[in-house]
Amino acid sequence: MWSGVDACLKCTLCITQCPVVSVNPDFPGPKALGPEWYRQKQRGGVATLPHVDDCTFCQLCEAACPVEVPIAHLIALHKAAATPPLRIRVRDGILARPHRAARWTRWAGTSRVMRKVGGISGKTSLPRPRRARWSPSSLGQPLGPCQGRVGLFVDCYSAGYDGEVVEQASQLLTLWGFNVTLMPQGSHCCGAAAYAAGKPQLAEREARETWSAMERFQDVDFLVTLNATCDATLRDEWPDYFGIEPPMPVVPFDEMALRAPQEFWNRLGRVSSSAEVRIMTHTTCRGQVARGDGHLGELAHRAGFHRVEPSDAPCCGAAGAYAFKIEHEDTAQQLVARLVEQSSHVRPQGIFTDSGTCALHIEQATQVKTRHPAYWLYRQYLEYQKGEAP
Amino acid sequence: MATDLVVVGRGPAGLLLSSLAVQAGAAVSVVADGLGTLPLWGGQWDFRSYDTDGAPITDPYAWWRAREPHTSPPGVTRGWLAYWQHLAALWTEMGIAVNPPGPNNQWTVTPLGHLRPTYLAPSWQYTTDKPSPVIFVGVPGLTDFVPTAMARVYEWATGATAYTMMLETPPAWRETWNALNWAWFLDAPGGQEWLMRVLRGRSLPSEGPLLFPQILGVDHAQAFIAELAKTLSRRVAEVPLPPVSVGGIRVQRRWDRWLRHHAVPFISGRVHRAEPDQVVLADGRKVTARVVLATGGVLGGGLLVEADGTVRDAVTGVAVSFGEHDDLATVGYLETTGPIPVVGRMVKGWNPDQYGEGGAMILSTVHAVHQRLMRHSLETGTWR
Ligand SMILES: Cc1cc2nc3c(=O)[nH]c(=O)nc-3n(C[C@H](O)[C@H](O)[C@H](O)COP(=O)(O)OP(=O)(O)OC[C@H]3O[C@@H](n4cnc5c(N)ncnc54)[C@H](O)[C@@H]3O)c2cc1C
Ligand code: SF4
Ligand code: SF4
Repeated sequence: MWSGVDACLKCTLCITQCPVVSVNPDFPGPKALGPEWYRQKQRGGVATLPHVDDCTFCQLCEAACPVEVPIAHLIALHKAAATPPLRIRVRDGILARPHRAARWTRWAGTSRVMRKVGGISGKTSLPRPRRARWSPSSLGQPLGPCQGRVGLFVDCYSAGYDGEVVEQASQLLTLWGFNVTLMPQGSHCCGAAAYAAGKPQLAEREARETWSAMERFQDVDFLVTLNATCDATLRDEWPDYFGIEPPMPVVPFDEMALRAPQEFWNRLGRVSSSAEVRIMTHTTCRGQVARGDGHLGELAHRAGFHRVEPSDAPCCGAAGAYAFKIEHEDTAQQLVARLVEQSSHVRPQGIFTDSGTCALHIEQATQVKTRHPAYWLYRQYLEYQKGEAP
Repeated sequence: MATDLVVVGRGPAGLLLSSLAVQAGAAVSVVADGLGTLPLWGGQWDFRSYDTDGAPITDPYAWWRAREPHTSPPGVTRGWLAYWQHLAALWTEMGIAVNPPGPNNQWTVTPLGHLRPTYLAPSWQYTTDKPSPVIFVGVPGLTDFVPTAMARVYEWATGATAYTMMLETPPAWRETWNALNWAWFLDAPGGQEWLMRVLRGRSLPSEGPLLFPQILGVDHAQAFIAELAKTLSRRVAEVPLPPVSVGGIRVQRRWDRWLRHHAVPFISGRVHRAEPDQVVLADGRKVTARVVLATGGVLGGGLLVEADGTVRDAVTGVAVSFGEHDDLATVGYLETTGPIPVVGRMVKGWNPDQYGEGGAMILSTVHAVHQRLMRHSLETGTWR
């Protein structure tokens, strides 16, 4: 929200929470890159600071600020003013349109040399498509009366690489009594990646296209999101920065899950084999900022996992396309190192996280299966069904 | 989520109240739209440092006892020792080592080299009951900690010798570094090895603890300080600096972690309306449970001073300055007897900036409200 644009009281709270400051000695930090840069620019000094591009756009600085300075959004403007080399601009142009990039699903096969030329990290895994592998028959009859129609927001990452989780989420929602529509159809993006890359205008254009594509779904009561970043973008950036209200209320999948019929939880409660299974939860940074932390732990607990450890890492470093960029690979690896250290003590058998790109990054680093909560709830329900089978 | 108590605010007051309620078996949710002021503190909790004439107080218990009838909340002084012991035990459990609370205030050193009293501080902070010779160890680029200037003041104030040492810059150093950059550097193995190597190569004065600016790490500071002390056979401790204040960041990180590991959700959002049993956030979300406001008052907090001088609670909209108590310092405790309890912030007759009693103010308001909530929960059979 631009109303706080000049409100900085120089309290330094934002600096204390910035994950990049904690690992990168060159990073000037949120206060210098955001409000201080902006004040200078207003006075006619227009120089951009080095390393502005190292900001992950996690927005944890904004969540700390007592006076609502739009720190990360100012840094996005600052990024827009910088001019990186051409090949980096080309690459960023592609990555800022992830819905287009995700149509070409064979990125993972790109050779090391090509990655280097294209400015793509050789240390971070690129996604491979994970398609739904079962017949979408069903988890059985809905557990209660019809609760209305929900739209399941198929974000670019899930559309390109994780058909499985879309299928799992939509079957769970059906089981809970909802009619499910996948939307928007066609290839769209909420604008998050473009904003994070310092292209706010492109972000707004993409958001408006997506808005138009969704507007025609008239009879949808809620829009359910599978990715915390898209969720935060639709609920915060759209109204606050683009002036567009999502055509229907937006609810993240895990909040929908917490409202699932009691019978669902009773059934999962009968899966006794999970009680001793160690699980970690990692709420992505954007999820922490937009809604808070703790929902995933509650979900895991209700799903029958009783040994749940919340992640101590504020940001895993994936940050959408950030970890794929060659100049950020070290920062991304250092940020996820906290999770690696923690998981080496906890030794979890699974990690819950609410974003596909974070899951990819965390799984690569920890070697622990890292999936969306819809995957884990679905899996638990299959366990329940197995237990009930004659 | 099933919640028994919703605490609005995650500054020191909100964190302490949430912890007490968790220990009493309540399911607590914390709602806040900002971080609170903990990362701006050095981390010390003052009890009552100065009397009304500005002279340092040695025995804060005696000071409060002598004023028993006038303190608010009334009668709270009887619980003081138990409150301090609880805080020390809670911190120890979180991994913040702290010396057991004693009968008297301790001395600590300011970045200007002055002595000032404090009561409870994490053991990484230099405190002593008797000033003695010390060694101030400086690092380049930190304008808030200049050993030679500090030593002059310290010697003048205490009569004890202050030695000084300056370290060189590590290869990773940047001119832009502040205390937090140093602390993150020294939190990692590379930085720790560097400092060890440098100190081993120096000959130290024969007496006195090594006093560093508060930069010796973040999450691993305690272990590193212990290792330094062992290697150098010398007490090693820190002097807290003005913000960015690394001590407060350490406390905040450990406290948040403790609460999260006790399954306390941190809900982020601005509270627009508070009722005794529900808060409504700016985006329409509602959290239903008994409400306590720990919304502070220093930075973007819960108090608004309007043009006509009325002080309003930013969350409830209620004018909190009224009648005979018509000044800012009356608001906190009076409201705790109202429909929505308020903890932290300012209490009638207290003045933390002048008297050094901010920690005690938080303790007393938080415990008063906690006891009231406990009575309520016993009467109604809520909380497990
Ligand atoms: C620079 C500095 C140094 C200090 N050093 C010390 C020290 O060394 N020792 C000491 O004892 N004291 C110290 N203090 C004093 C101490 O900060 C205050 O006593 C303290 O701020 C009171 O804490 P609190 O928990 O009541 O509020 P705060 O720390 O101000 O926290 C308020 C919380 O409420 C939230 N909030 C407010 N309004 C809303 C709303 N509408 N919706 C949702 N959330 C809301 C805020 O986001 C925040 O999380 C220092 C203060 C400052 C500024
Ligand atoms: S958005 Fe995140 S990485 Fe960027 S400055 Fe803020 S806290 Fe740091
Ligand atoms: S937290 Fe906000 S007010 Fe404080 S320094 Fe950062 S931008 Fe400024």
